[in-house]
Amino acid sequence: MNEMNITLAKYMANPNGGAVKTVKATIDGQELFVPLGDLANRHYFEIMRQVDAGTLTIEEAD
Amino acid sequence: MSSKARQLANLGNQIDDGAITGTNMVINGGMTISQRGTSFVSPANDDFLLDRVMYQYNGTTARITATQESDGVVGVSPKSLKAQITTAANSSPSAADYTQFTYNFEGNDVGHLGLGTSSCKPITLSFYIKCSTTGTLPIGVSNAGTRSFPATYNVTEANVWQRHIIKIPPVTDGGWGSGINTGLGLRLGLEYGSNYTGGTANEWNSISAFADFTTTYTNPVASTLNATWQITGVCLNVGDSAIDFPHRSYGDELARCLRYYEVFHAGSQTGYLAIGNWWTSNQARCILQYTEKRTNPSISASDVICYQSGSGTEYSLSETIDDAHSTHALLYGGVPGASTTQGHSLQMRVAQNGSIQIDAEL
Repeated sequence: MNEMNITLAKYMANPNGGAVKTVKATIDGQELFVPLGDLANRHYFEIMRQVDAGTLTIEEAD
Repeated sequence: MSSKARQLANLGNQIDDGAITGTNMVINGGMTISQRGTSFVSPANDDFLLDRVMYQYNGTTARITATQESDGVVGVSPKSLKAQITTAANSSPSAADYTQFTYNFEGNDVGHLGLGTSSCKPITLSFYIKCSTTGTLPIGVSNAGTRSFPATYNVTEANVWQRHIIKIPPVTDGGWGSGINTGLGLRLGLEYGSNYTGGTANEWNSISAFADFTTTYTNPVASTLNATWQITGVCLNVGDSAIDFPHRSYGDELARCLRYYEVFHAGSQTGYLAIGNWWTSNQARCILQYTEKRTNPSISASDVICYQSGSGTEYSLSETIDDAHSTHALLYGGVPGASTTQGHSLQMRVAQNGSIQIDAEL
């Protein structure tokens, strides 16, 4: 009973050139940098839940 | 007056239930810690108010202003959380409507209860409520949506602090989160639609996706314009009786809250964050360090400035966070207009209206 309103999700290029580690997301109106791969992070969990549900797409990094 | 023998027996029972050794599993139950502020006008769904307390709503027209009040209970806490209804809900909420305050317990903090096992311990929830309307109000104690213990508490007199005690028997089945995940959830509602209120009170219910996780109630607080609901002294202890609310020092309580949320802001002065350097002539970087979090946190950043010693020049940073770990993250960004010497150090600061918020809440 807790669905976050996510209006943007976009991978952030690694500033050191390695693997992507962060998603920039606008969640309930707040811009957040969300670490990738940590399902204990409630924002990442919800991003992936909405991606799996087909209601959210994470944009590629610039 | 009870006999001395009865008093001693009650004391013994309280000791068994953790009155001396332990302990309130609720963090900030006295509503003393307020890192996000002390007044929240029409907070959004999922906003945290005072530390560890989340406000949630769905569908309803009800809106609140929440404040930290210096109106507590002597011997319990000098502070409280107050919600005032600024837009009233429909007196008959739609089926999916709700307005609630949620507290999620970390699995590490409730793992000793043995939730879902044959040796599960009983627990007791207690709290103080002052409400301007009378009648019963609903709560639900649950896992991630398959087991719930619905109950109500009865506000019998308006605008008076009253203590409510809810005894919760062991729950011997169901899946329960552990470790750094949510182990137990507590929801105190101001209103619920019929999707949620079909649970049988005062016993564990099997539910699906929070349907009927709580029970029916009579108090019209959410549908009464300007009504108030105020809470403090929230305690969850092991055992079949409520312990006296255990006082913790402000520092102890704040330290517990920092595991879940931390904010750097400048207030009336410019706040120092870290020593950084010019990674390139127009990109600044620093390592942002913070109190160890429950998990890798989400981070927001605004109005970070880079102060170049020598020239005394301040540059605005286009803030980006990367590679957040439980204790540190990389803060970096382009600095439009800067043309500096690569490798030179600089001061990373938060401007007066800026902040860095580090969020590992459940």
